[in-house]
Amino acid sequence: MQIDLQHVEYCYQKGSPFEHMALQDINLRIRSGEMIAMIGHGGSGKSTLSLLLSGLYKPTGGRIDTYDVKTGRQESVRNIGLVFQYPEQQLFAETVYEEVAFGARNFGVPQDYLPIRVRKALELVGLEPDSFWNRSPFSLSGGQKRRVCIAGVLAVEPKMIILDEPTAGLDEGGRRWLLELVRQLNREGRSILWITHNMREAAELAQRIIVLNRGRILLDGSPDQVFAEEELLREAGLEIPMAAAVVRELKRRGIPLAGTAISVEEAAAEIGDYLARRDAPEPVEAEPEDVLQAKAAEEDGEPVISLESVLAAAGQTIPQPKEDAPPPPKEEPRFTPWQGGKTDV
Amino acid sequence: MFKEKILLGQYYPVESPVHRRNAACKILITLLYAVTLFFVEHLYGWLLMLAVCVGVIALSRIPLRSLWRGLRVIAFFCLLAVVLNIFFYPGEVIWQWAFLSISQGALAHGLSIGLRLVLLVLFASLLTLSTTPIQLTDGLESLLRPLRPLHVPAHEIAMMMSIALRFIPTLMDEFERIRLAQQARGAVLDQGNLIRRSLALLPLLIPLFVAAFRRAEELAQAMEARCYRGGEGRSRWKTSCWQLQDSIALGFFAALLLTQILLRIFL
Repeated sequence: MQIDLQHVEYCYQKGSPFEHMALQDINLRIRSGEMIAMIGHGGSGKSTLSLLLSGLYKPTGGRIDTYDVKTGRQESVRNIGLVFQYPEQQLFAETVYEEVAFGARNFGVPQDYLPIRVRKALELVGLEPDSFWNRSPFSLSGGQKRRVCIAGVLAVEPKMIILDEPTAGLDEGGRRWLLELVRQLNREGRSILWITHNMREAAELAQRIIVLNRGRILLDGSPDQVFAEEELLREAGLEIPMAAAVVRELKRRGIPLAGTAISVEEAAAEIGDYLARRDAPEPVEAEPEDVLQAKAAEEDGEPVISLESVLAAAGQTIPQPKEDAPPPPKEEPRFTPWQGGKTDV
Repeated sequence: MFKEKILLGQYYPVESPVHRRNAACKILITLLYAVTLFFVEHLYGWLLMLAVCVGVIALSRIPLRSLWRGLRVIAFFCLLAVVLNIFFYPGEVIWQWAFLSISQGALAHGLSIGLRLVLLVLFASLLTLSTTPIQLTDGLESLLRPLRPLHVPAHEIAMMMSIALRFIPTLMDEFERIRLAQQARGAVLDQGNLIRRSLALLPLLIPLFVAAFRRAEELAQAMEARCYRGGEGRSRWKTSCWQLQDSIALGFFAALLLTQILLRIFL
């Protein structure tokens, strides 16, 4: 399934004094099986675009074609699932089964197949069907409610899923679970559009990033291409992920890094490689006191690097040789936690 | 994103003698005018009422477009009322076609019904266009306060009104959001017989009610956290005062009512 947008624009309340052009001159092609992250600051038109793509809104200008590439036939709205922000607000049914089956039933799935679809969807989101499907959706925890809503969309078995800020309000575990679920859905062949303002999520997930700014497409490309445009992103009110920023800053200050890392893992790899290269040739028995040792350690699979230690290493090691270095410390340095904080933006 | 609906009768901010009047005064005047409308019969009576209405509109400096919006809503009912009255007014038949008949005085009667509705709505719109919701509820509270000894909960009524007014746009937004979400799940609202359409409203109304109750609870907690304890001993930041102009305006409309009564008796 492919979606083509040509010169699409959307204007709220055209002709009234409250007229507001939410989207202008949007040209896009979304192909089958793509994993796209859409980022933009608040008000940039992300949600409006999701409504246009799913067919709920019709563009006030330009055209949108949603069709099957092989047959050229128009595809209907049911093939695009849309998970709204805070989807728990749509819950209404008496049982989880009814809630999940709602969409599938509306879109014409025969009565006999409904239980199968519901079961499959609930299993995909990690809710045990037999224990959950008779419960009231209102009796569930926040995370479970969200899973039910996503199951509702999955039960329709759409070819494309658009998720609007799906991790809003989730804890770190929930976030990781959702990212993994979406990756799996993409592996099964579904196109995914993940709308977020969190750069780190976009970096972790996407093959392709579309950046919206004030209703227009600012950038559209691979993560490498997009994050290389730091200035443009900053103008659009966005920052590149912390890990990417660190690596590029280090490179600017003279450390010979590749400078292309995007995620924390890649940054750790680059810095680790550099340190290995730096330390390997001359086996220096003792490290000078001023030269802190930045060791990448594995903690829950996430490398923990002290920003100060790496920058200190930069300041110390580049120009000067180590001859007049003071005597080494006797103990291992303590690890300082990642200064960037929990939420990277 | 969803704030597309412009609330009917929304406050139109502009400086004018009408805007400056005390809200309680304006409410009383609107009531007086409404009552007066039901005493009007003679042509001169109507002209007088029209003149007064036009005069107040001019004084208020509110653009006609805003007023028209309020009228548009009742336009259909108004037309219906007029038509029904014209064709079913009892009396001597002076025109007939198939099953429709117009009797003597029916036209005048029908038009007077229509005019009554139009003027009523116009004046009520003027009230809401020239008075902020908070001013309105304060005015209402002042008017109801004398009834406290009769166990009329004036403060609570006013508080309910102002909360309702404040949350109408919020709930409308919420409704729109829910509607879109359910539409994305394939819910259709405009098909099928009455039963089916009513059932189709459930996925819209239930989430809305849940959201409303949730907001109510949060609001109550927030108000209590700010030491809200009801109306006892509660003062107001912006106190409204009653000025001479308010008394004059009220007197004028009382006189108008009297005049119409007299006109009716003697003409």
